[in-house]
Amino acid sequence: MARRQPLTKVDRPNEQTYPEVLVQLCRLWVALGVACVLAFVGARAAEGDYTQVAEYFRAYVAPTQGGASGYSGSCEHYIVNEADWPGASYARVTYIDTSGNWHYTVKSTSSPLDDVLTVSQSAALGRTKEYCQNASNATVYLLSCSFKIYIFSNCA
Amino acid sequence: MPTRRLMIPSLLAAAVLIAAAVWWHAAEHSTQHASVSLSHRVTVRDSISRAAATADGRLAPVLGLHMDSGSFSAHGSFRDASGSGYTIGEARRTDRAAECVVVIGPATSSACDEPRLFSRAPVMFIEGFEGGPAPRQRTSETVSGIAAPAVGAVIVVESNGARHAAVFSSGKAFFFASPRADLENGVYIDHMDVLGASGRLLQTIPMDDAS
Repeated sequence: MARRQPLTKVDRPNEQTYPEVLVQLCRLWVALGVACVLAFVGARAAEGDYTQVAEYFRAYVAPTQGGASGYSGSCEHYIVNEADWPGASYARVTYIDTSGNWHYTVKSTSSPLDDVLTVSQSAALGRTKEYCQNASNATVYLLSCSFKIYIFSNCA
Repeated sequence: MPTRRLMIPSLLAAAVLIAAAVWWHAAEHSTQHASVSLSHRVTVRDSISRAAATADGRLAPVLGLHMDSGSFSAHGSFRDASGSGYTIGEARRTDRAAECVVVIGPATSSACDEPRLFSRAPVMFIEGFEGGPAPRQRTSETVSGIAAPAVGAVIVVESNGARHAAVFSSGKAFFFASPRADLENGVYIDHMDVLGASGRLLQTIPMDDAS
């Protein structure tokens, strides 16, 4: 009476026929995936918070005209609003919340004019945009406006 | 085994690629706000507050773009009716030959003259308000500045004709805060009269801040 072979050899004949190189490649791809995730998390963690400066408006403007930045995102806060114009005439800079209310508005005839908030002051306003305006009565001039924004790198 | 020899370089390459992707993502983010981008990115170690330590260890106010915080010197300090403090002083810019009046109040603001203070006028000032912009919607309004040595007084004239002498410090800083009742009634600052030491009118500065 012949002895029966183990079922594994009969029912799953391919298992023992995988080349060793395929097994190694499979492990390699799993390791690569894990490494990618770890590298991404590590890179973001190492990035840290940062600030950026950029010009958001530049144009010749008549009285009451001006320009605005886009609204800040949920992980960033505007902290400096600067207007640069020839001076002598008035200009104004402000932070505008999503309800259209103006905050920390300043106006002067002396250029450049800077309006600086702390991160916590800006955060208390929620999402804001920066706005600069020709606040003179009659003078057209070249107005350029810049922001500084604080960006939280590890922010959902 | 060949695959084992491949593993470490592959992992390193993947890490480099991911780090580059993160950097690219951040760089892309930096330009989304600006139509004309002059953006540069500066990593910060501490959340930005009102003051920061300078290289020599003392605290200096955090000022605007291209402002030399270390050059700040105070000319006077004031309080408004609600108790908010205002320190008024001067500082230089780093990007051009300019000197600036600096007002450290609820926020910090600065306005500059080239090449020196008072190059254009005997007073340098910043008007600030909260709320608005229409006068009746404002919850506070102030005028803060510094005056040249020849100035004896600054008279703030409101739209209802009321005249208020701005408070002066010994360092020629001056400050005026609109009375709350005036703000609630839509009264706004119409102009300022700058007087010399003898009381002579040196300059009338229109404010016309009705809008």
